[in-house]
Amino acid sequence: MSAAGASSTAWEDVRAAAQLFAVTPLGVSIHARPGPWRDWWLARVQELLPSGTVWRRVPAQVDAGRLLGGLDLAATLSSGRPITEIGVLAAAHRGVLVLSMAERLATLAAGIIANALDTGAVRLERDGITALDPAAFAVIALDESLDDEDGLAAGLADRMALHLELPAGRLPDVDADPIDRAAVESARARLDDIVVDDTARSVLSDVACKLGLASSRPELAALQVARAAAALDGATHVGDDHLALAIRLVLLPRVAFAPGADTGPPEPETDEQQDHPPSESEAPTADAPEASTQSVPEPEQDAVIDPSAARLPPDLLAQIAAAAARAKSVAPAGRSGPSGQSRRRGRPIGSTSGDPRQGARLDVIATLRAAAPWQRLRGTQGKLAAGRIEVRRSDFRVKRYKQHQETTTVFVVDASGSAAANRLGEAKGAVELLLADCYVRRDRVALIVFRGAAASVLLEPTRSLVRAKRLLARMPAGGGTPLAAGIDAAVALAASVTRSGSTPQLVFLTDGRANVGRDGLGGSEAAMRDALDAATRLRSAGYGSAVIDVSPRPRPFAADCAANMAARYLALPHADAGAIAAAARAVAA
Amino acid sequence: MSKLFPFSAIVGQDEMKLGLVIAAVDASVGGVLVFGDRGTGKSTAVRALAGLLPRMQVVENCPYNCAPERPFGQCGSCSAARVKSVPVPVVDLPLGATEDRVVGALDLERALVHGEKAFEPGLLARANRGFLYIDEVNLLEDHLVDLLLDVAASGENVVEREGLSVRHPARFVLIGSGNPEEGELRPQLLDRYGLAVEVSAPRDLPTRVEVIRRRDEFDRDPAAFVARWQRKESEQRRRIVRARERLAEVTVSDATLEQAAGLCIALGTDGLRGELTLIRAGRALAALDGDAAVGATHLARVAPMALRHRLRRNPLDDAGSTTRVERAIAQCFDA
Repeated sequence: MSAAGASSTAWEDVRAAAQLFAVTPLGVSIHARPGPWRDWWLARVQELLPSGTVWRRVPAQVDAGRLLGGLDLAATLSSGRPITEIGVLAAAHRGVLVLSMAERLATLAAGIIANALDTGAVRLERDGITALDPAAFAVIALDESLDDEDGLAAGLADRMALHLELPAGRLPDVDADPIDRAAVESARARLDDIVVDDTARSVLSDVACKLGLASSRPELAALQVARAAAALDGATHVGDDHLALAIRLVLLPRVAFAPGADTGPPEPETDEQQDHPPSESEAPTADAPEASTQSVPEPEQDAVIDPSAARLPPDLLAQIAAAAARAKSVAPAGRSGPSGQSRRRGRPIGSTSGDPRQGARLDVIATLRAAAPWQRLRGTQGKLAAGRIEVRRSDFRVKRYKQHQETTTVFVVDASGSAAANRLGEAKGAVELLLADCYVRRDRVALIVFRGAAASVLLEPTRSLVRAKRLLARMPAGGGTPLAAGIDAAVALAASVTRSGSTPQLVFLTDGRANVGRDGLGGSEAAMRDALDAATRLRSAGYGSAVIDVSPRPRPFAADCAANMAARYLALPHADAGAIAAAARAVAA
Repeated sequence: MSKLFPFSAIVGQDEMKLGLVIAAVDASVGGVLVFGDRGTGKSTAVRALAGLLPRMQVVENCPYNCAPERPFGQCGSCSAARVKSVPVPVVDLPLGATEDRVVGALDLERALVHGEKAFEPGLLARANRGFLYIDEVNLLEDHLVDLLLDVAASGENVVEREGLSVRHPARFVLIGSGNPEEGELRPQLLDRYGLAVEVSAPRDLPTRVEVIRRRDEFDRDPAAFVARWQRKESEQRRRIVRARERLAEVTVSDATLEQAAGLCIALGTDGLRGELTLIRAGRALAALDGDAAVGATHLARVAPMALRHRLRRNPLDDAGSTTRVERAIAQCFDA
């Protein structure tokens, strides 16, 4: 029953959002799985809009050509002169564009839609055609991303006025309070006469300021919503209730995904900083054996040490990728990774002459261009009817694609007490070196930390290396070594990275002294068994990975783990630069 | 199509406006890169430039916007030699534009219908003597960006494709805008923009309220809003015209040159491009201010935008480049 209580407030907002959308064209992002709530919302909105409003559904795979329009192939071929085909955006003029699975929309497509929203027009410069068509439309973005995935592209999300989070499950009693269509229509007619005074504006700006919103679009959207709310109320001025609704629907939901979150959400763990002794009470069972057998020195100051002291083979990341590619090639069929299909997938990088029957995609425009100069000549042979184009095999041009090469490097760092004692600082230095490498390669990075009883994702995949570095520097340490949990978390994150179209590669930094099992309980034996099992799973998922052993006296277990993962294993023995360099050479060989 | 938001009605964002105006006064400073938060009026400002710039004389019907006194003489319209006054082109390079439309290509219609091999000029031709604007420059395909920077630097577009061999003038100021969160630009590209301006959201309430009020007024009645700002726009336009006339007379003393060099050395910028841009931007600013010579104050004002993107960057260094430039200015000029 408590769930019903929670959803009833949402119900008011969902209902209000449908009404507001019907009054004024707004951008709406709906974060929900398909379900009765979403269906109800979409159906109701469609019903409330003036009849004949264009309603255009766009799949996530839509490409620039379909959005913008271009050369109409069939018409061009049959008429013998270039005929323009109108794109989806221009076709949605004065209507609604519904983006299915909006979180999967390509960056370029999202950028094109955002541009049309800004200018109310689409500018077509493609296939030898120039056009400027009006395209003023409202967007409904259906975002079905899971919580741990990237949602709607940030640029597009910024332009959406309403961000609805729909609950799963059954609808409340829908018919108890039907929406009055007549009220919506009269509100639409009155909308332009609603007066907004400076006080109302400054209230919205004040809230936006206090929420730390950088963009001024949410404020404008809130103003639009407040106006529509006033019109629905039959008021002539925007009043406090309308402002409150606008703030609740438009401004407050932004905080959750504010792009300015770069300064970092408040770290729950900032108070317990790095200097935990390994015998930290939170995992008493965990490190006790080690502490007794090993006369653990005081954990060294956890400052990031000079990265030059942590020597790694310079092309470690490249090697992981290469190893992963080798693993892929022997992987069972049906699991082919994203890098196997370059004939038809990826980013087009122009066209080349070739035969389309071998699975490549015909570049029609380029083919026509190639054929065009010869038409007069071929035509004079007398066989060609007027208005027809003769295309020969030598004219065929096929598209070339560059496979999406983006890589996400996931660092899985052991921050347990034993690792902290064993040069966690040096491990951080090593991560920094690799981060610099990631910058050069334009990789995204993510950070997983395991310590105590569990692993956590400290940093979702991001391109902001500064953030990664900052988080790394304040990373707390201490507690047991839940290696299995770390590996499991890495596999889960890698799967999510794969779904978002990027290739994950995993770098583990650990001393391999697993002593906390999957159940969160201490005990070296169970922990090691779980870790080996997790490692095997990682291997079967086929992700490229490397294990960097940061323990001063490497034991065989870390290497065994690496072998189970099919990972590259690399020990970082204590300050023995010559040996490391030799190891690096051996790895590279 | 729709009315443009007036340039002078943009609240705050002084650095961005100054950078664009400097490029309008002296195109030789090179392009302008506008980087910053979403929803802070980057595109609005660049598109507003189109309404601000003084009109220019061109040969009528010339696809390359040739100046009457310096015709290029390829399209045949020069012989007619009828002169027309047109707005300075601010050409939007839309996302998803294909290369053939950017550089120009075989005219498909004439090829298909008449069997003629004719060149159809692209966006680069249309932008000649004006501005070429790329929104979300970090989303543009790398090969197109390379091509644009190359043409912008050489002032000439060379087309070798589909059996065509054409070269035509393409002198334009490249303006790119983007959001660093969408991905960083390659350092090689950064360096090739003359100026780099940063925009950020206003944090104080009165400014924000003013931003929203003006935008709201504009959205509700564009024509009336534009009419209200017409006088301010003309003033700004006259300022640019006067500055262009004065530009050649503004002097740069040896002492100023030394100061500029000192600043670049202190910051360790690579190459001479930084110093050159610094001097040119300073000269344009002096011309705008009506001063006869470039002084330290001018240099100090343009130094951040002329130099911040030329610093050797450590990707993991979170100290902003702007701070470093400002620190160097304080050291070099106040000493």
